[in-house]
Amino acid sequence: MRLLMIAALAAACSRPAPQAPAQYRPVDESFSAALPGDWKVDDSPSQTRKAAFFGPAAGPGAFAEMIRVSLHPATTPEAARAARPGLPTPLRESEVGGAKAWEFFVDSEFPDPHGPLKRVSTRVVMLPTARGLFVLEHAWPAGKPSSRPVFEELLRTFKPKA
Amino acid sequence: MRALAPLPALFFLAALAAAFLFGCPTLLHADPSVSPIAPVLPKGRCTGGAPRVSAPAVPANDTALDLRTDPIADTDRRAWETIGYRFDDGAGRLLDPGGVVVTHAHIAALNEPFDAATQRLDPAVWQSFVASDFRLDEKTCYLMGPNGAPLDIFTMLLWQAASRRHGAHMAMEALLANLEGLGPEARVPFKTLGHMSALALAGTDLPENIKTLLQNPATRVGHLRAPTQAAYAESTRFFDGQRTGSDFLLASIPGSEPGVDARRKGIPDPHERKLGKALSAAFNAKLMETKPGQELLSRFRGPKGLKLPDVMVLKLTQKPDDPGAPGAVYDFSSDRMTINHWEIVKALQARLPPKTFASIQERLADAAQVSRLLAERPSLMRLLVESLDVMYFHELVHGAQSRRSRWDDESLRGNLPGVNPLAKEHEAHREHCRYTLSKSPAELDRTPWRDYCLGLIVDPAAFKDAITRQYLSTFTSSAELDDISSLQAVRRKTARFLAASDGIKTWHQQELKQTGFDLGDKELSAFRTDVDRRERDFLAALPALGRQAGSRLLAYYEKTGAADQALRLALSLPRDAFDGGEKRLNVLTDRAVDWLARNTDPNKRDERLALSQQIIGRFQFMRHLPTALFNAYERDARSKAEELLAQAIQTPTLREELLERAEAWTGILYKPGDLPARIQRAREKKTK
Repeated sequence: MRLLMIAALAAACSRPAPQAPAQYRPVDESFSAALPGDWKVDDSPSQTRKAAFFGPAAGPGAFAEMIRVSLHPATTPEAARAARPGLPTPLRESEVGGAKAWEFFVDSEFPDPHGPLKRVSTRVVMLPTARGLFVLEHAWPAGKPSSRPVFEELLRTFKPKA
Repeated sequence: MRALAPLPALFFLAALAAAFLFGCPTLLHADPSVSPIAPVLPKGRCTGGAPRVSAPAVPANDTALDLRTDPIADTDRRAWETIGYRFDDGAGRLLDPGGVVVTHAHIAALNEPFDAATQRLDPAVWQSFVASDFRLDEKTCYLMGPNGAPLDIFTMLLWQAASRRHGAHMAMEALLANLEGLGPEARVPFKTLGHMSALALAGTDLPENIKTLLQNPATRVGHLRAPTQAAYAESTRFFDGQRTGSDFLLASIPGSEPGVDARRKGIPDPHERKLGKALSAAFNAKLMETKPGQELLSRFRGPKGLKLPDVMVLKLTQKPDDPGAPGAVYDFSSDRMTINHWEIVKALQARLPPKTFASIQERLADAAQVSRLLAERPSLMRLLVESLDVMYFHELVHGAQSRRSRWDDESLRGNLPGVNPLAKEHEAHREHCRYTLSKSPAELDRTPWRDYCLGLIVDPAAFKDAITRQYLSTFTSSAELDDISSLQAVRRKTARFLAASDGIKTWHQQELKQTGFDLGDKELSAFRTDVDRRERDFLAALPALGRQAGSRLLAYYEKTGAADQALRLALSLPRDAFDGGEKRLNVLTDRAVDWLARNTDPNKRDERLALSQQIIGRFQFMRHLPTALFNAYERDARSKAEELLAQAIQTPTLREELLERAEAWTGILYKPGDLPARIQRAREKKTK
């Protein structure tokens, strides 16, 4: 786990305003996107996951949300949705970095031996590319407001590696 | 003046300071969310909030305490000052935190027992008392100490103050770790401000000067670092002051006080011990039904048989719906697993027919009565084991973790920061899902863990990320190993500073501490290697586990005619998790269509919608959905959209999200009618 480093900050000691986005690229440079500089990121390698971001850093819901980017070489938006338990909403057309994408919402449960059952809402946006299906998801505690603008900014600025 | 039991009070303070300093797992597991509890859940009378029967009597001749005639020893003064009292030696007065002169009646009130019927205790502090062998007397609602005396208000305040002090100590440690590597002119990083603000919301009380600096937007790292270092060093002096010379020496010796045997406290109370043994035996018998259960238990087998953690059932929170009410905790400092009494009551409420539950309801508020009930009715014990075995397995994994490495020993010796490595939870969740997926298909189908654990097969990285999100947000003491390294660096730097500045005695203690930190670092490195290897091994074996669990459950659904579950499972699993490929999927789809035709109950709307979508999504067109069923699908989708629209109108904070969901369902309707316009109106209303 490391914290997003903002290149400009490190170089010039100038600080961004709170929530100012940082340009992020994983080690394999499979995509780039803007995210707030204070979200934690885990980009340790795994089969499909490229990076998972945890935030926001402040407030009563600190680190209660996750934004996750994964790349699935052999799947379709329908199959990705079918793999989710619960009742996902129907697929809707969406947009990621100006390209056509698909999205749905789904609710799931996190049973926890150390505490009560938690319910989680997830918005899943999928971008078909030549290298496979990019799955961009935003998860937050169900029934609570979420950092929607942060995810919208990620969707707006997301660029898969050509 | 009557002595205010200052020595026991100081003893408790020291014990608590040590518990906090060296990591109190019951607190690490505190969870701030609130569980939904049905109103019929019996709570008993010791849950606070009841009106006092009578106000404490104030003697007619109450007079101010005079320190000149009733002096307080220097050693006791620290306890008073810790809870915010001040001494005015010139006037010979003791002043309360509000500056009011303390009277004899005031002292008498502080000596009164803490009454759980009328007073509420912070859930984390309640847990720390329970972990320290205080027990609730259900008749008096007093918390009885290990010495048999009730907890008094003064001791309770002292304990709370130590809890706050430790919270501030940990927050300053994290703050310094955050500032490391930044130049003096740099602004305080936003994420640091956010972290501190989250801790403040959770009740952490930072020193005033640091709070003021954090609130000032002009503050630079250089302004903040020195006072934080000074406050942290002072706080370190305080906690070091609770340790003896031999504590420092022992902590610096490799392998001293080895392992769990030295930590095990046992259970002194014969009644608690008997119930714990009965529960443990019942859970172990259940675990033995599966290979992962057998493997886990074998890790506790020694030359003299099984040496498992002690098991107890206690009220881990004062009320069943207290924030962070845990199901169970493993406390490595005593090698005990404590199952929350309220979890047992909830399990019985969920599983028993309402009439049966009502017949025993009165007895469920009292932990001792519950254990008698379990002894009287073995069927209740069986039901509990079926409901809570996964939780027991999870905590037992923590017990095994505590045996196989020295992490907990080094943490207790102060050689590692008192935080909970997330890697322990990643492993415990993985393992309890391996256990869950190894159950018989009928049991796997019934367990509330089914979907969660099938998620492990579908996407293990997503499964791990969900745990990280959950624990980072609910347990502020959870940390990745890299973060723990940063905290350790701050502790080492502070030890060097204290060694150089505080005289020969401190120099010697701090040198010993640094030797201990070397042992901690060594364990951190070994722990990282070990957990990484375990994760790799687990992932290598996961496809086989997925094939076994997936194919067995799928065959079970086919056999029992649960065509809806069969298709949904097959479409969610990796294709190599079951035999038959596309041909089998086609058969499953045909059966699912038949299921849809048979199940027209309005209460099954969501199940029908989910299944219809799977069928439509699989074929991309309506080939497999006859007209009648498609019409039913249209009806269900419209009903869902209407429901979401109504919720959106009633819930302004979630309106946009709910409207988007309503739109998604409206989008598939052939005849959407006026729904799009109504959704748009709801959106415009929000905009205005």
